[in-house]
Amino acid sequence: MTVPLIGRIGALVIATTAFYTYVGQMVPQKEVQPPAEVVVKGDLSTADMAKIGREIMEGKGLCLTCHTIGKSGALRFPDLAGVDGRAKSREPGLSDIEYFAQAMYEPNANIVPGFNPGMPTINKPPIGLNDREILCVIAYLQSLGGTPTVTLQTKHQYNAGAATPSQGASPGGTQPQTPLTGEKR
Amino acid sequence: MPNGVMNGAMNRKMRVLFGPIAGLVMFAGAIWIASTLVSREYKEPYRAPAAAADATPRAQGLAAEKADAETKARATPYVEAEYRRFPVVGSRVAIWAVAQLHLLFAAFVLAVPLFAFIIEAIGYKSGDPRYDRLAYEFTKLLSVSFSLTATFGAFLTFMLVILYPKFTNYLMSVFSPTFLPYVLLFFFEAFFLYTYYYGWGKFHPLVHLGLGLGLNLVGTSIMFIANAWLTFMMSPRGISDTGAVISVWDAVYNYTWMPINVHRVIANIAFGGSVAAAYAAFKFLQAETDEERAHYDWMGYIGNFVAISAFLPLPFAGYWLAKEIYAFSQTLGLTMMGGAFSWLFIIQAVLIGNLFLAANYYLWLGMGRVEGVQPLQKFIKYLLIGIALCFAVWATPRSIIATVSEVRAMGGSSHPVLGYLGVMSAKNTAVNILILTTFMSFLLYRRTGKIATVPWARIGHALQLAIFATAAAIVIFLGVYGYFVEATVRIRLSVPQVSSVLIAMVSITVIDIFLFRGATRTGEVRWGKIPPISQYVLIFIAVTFTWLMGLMGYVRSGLRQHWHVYGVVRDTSPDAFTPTLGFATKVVSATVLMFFLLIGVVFWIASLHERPDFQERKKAAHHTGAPEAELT
Amino acid sequence: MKVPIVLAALAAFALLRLLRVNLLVWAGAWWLGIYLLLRFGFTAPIPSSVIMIYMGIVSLAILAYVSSSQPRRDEVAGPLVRFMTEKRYTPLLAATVVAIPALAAANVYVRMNVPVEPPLFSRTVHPASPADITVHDKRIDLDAGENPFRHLEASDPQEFRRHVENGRRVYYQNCVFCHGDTLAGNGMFVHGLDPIPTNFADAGTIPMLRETFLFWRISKGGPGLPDEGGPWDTAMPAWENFLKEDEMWDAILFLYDFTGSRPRGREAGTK
Repeated sequence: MTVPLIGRIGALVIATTAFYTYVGQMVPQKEVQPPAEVVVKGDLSTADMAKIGREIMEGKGLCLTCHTIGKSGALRFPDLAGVDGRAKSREPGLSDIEYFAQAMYEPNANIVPGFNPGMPTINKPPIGLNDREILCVIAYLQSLGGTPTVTLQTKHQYNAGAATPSQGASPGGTQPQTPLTGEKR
Repeated sequence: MPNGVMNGAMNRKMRVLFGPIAGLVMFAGAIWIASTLVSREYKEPYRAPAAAADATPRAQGLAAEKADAETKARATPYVEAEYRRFPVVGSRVAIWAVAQLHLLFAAFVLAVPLFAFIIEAIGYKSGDPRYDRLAYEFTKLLSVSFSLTATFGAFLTFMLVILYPKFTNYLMSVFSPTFLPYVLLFFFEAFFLYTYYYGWGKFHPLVHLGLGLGLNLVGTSIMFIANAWLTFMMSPRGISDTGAVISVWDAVYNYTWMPINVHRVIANIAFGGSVAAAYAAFKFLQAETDEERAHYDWMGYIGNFVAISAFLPLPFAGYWLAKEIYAFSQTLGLTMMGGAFSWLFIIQAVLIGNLFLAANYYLWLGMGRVEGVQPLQKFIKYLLIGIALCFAVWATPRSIIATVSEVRAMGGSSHPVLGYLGVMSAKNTAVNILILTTFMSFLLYRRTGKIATVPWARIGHALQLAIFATAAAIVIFLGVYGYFVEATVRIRLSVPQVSSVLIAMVSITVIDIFLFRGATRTGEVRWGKIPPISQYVLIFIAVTFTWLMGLMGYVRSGLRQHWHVYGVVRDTSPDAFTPTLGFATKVVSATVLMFFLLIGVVFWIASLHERPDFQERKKAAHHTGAPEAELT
Repeated sequence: MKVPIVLAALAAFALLRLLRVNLLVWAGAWWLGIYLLLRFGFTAPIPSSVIMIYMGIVSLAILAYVSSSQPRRDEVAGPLVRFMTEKRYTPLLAATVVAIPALAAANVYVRMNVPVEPPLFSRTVHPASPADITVHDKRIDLDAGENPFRHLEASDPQEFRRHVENGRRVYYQNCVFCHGDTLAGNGMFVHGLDPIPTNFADAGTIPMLRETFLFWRISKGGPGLPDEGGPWDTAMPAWENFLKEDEMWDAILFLYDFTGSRPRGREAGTK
């Protein structure tokens, strides 16, 4: 009762392949969907902006692939917990909003000491957030260690002209929003 | 019992003979029946046109429906399709499997001439006819594989045009100047390949070697051009933000082009060597005489030697590729190492660990070829411990799967000990030590049955050991040191690690060559005297290599996630999502099985050469009355 | 780490060494020994998923070793062949044949028979505090701020005691129900709470934190935790809705006073 050679080799090939497939089933299974489009409407309150900002950071913006919030130890990229407190004083002459905007529009202009440059420009592909989405992200960043003050009408050095058309296009975007305080969140 | 076997074999022979005949008879019969039926078909009598219009409401309804459909079809304007759907499995899986099969055959077709050429050159230089025969044997596998490669290439092109018309159009417009040279090179490839194969022994050896060189140059250029297209998809360059071409050369010479070229040449050699070794293993197991066994044992050994030597520098080429990916885009790099694909590298560690283990194991089994006692066998234990430890370190996941109670018992989601093993510092160290260990195994194999007689033998051995120990110490020291420095410094530590391993390997080899010059032999190498299990190991290595190629092909292509051309052309098809690793491994397995099925056919076709002629076989069977084993 | 098991395994190995047993026994012993080491040899136990990976590697390595040369193959195959062919082993062989599926079944039973566990959430127990918060319309700087009454400890001990006593009153009127009579986190409501209330007597809790951090946690409670602290079902109320600012600072003084610990000082140069 001997198995023919072809049968034995075939069994070996199938068994090996099956084993690797099995290994493939043992690891965590995660399906990554393409990022969902977050529609940023013109009449968001600052608190809502921060909420959307958080969603963008987790999803489309891919921020949390690299950045951590509230982690210490050997980090590859700056931790963002309480970042607003640092952003206010990091660059002389830049407010926290301006600093955050610079960090996203020109990420290599200012590298946090002890880290490697490596952040992509956020308003360009592959990430390609638009100006409003970036304002939402700034709102969330301000809420880390501070109180968000940014609104969709906020101007900074990178959107001084660019934000106008999108503002006009949205209904209800004309009334200025009063900044909400942190405890309402 | 023998009678029964013989009857069984005769029966099988009859079946094999009569199977096709029966098929033909049935085919002819079917045609005959069909034509008879057609000729006897009921034919309607001729009717006047007025009477032909059937007036039943059903027929009217059908006619109206048909006319309606036609006017609708006429009214619809022509729209350029963005995607078309492949039935059942979907477009992505279809194109994935076809591309992977094309690639596997292409890798084989590019690699085999590379080492066939080298082996032929060795044969020419040394005058040993064994090498020439071996090179020819490798080349025999080529011509069928070449046609299969071309067929799959055409298949892939059609699939691209059918399933992804818009994206294919974009890629064609960016790379339009490269396609005609590509086709032209294919002509040259065919010319060189067939003259190299059919002209074996028909030209002056140097002319023939020249043909081989031409074959390799053309083959490599073909691959470089194709690599430009696919690396462009991963790391586009030379185009504007909107995707318009600025410089075709920049698009070709993008960040990952050169690393992929180098990586693929090396990996192709490793892959081709392992598949050729699997072929030799297959022939060894089939062989009936000691002479054949000796030859195929040797062929398998050379094939595996080629595969493993090419495999050793492969991790370094991989690091270079990864570095360039990071240089192109941190986002892409982090998706690869930290995001959805991080677990893929644990699967990769399992595969590579298996490869190292199997390669070492084959070498240890090979010590059995040498006559007499094998004093070096006792070292196997320590080599094995080293390999198992490195394998374990490499397979340690960075983020551990644990249940709630386990996490509570560990005191957090990261383990105080394993946490140190899951990071890059530890894994780099493990790979380097694995490479050193495999190299050691090879050295031990080489010196089995030999005793160095040069006057400085003691010093030589001591020096080799010292170099080995120093390299290992440097690698481990730098690995540990990596935990105490910042990331910027840590990344750069892998360079001295790698170079110390390379320097150690080169210097030990040089010493070894001089050390064993004129060594006394305590036992001859008896090719073919190796347990059959070693041949199954060779086949296992080939399957593992193929699977590894499939897996890494997936990560290279899957990295782009929802982009056709990363950051430029978005994938908006239903297949834009990234599948789970479990699904990906299933597709990889399916393509690997298909590849082995096809390569089995290639082997079979190549073996038709040695098959005795039909007439002679019949005569021989008549004489002895024995069933032919070749038929099965 | 279970020292007796590890020691027993070591003793067994020594015994095997003395008995000069067959390679097959050694192979089994190494497999079992490594398993015991991984399972019981570490203070923080290794998760079973990782043990499975390691044992797979160990199995492959041992298999490779025992079959790596003719003498080794013979040494291992000999007893196995004898076991399967010799008459006197027949009952044992039959027992083995029965035992293999039984073992598989037992394995399935053991794997299925695990207590139901909630899914695992990773959460940061001490998330970083914001730089400043607003309590009762007053902005309080958590980075640079101090307990406004802490300085009394040196300058006016009597006044300081008064504040501590006030804190004691606040604590026993509000906090005691969960955090307990002795501040050990074992109040009468504890059994209904997950996560359980902080045990202030533990040296790993309040001595590691600054007073302003405590003030943030007390005033904002569970609702004020940042996202990374969640999913967080803590029942800690936001005490700013019930207490005056001074009362909260006093309660903090009391916590440190009662447990005899000192708050963590402000580090220079961080952040």
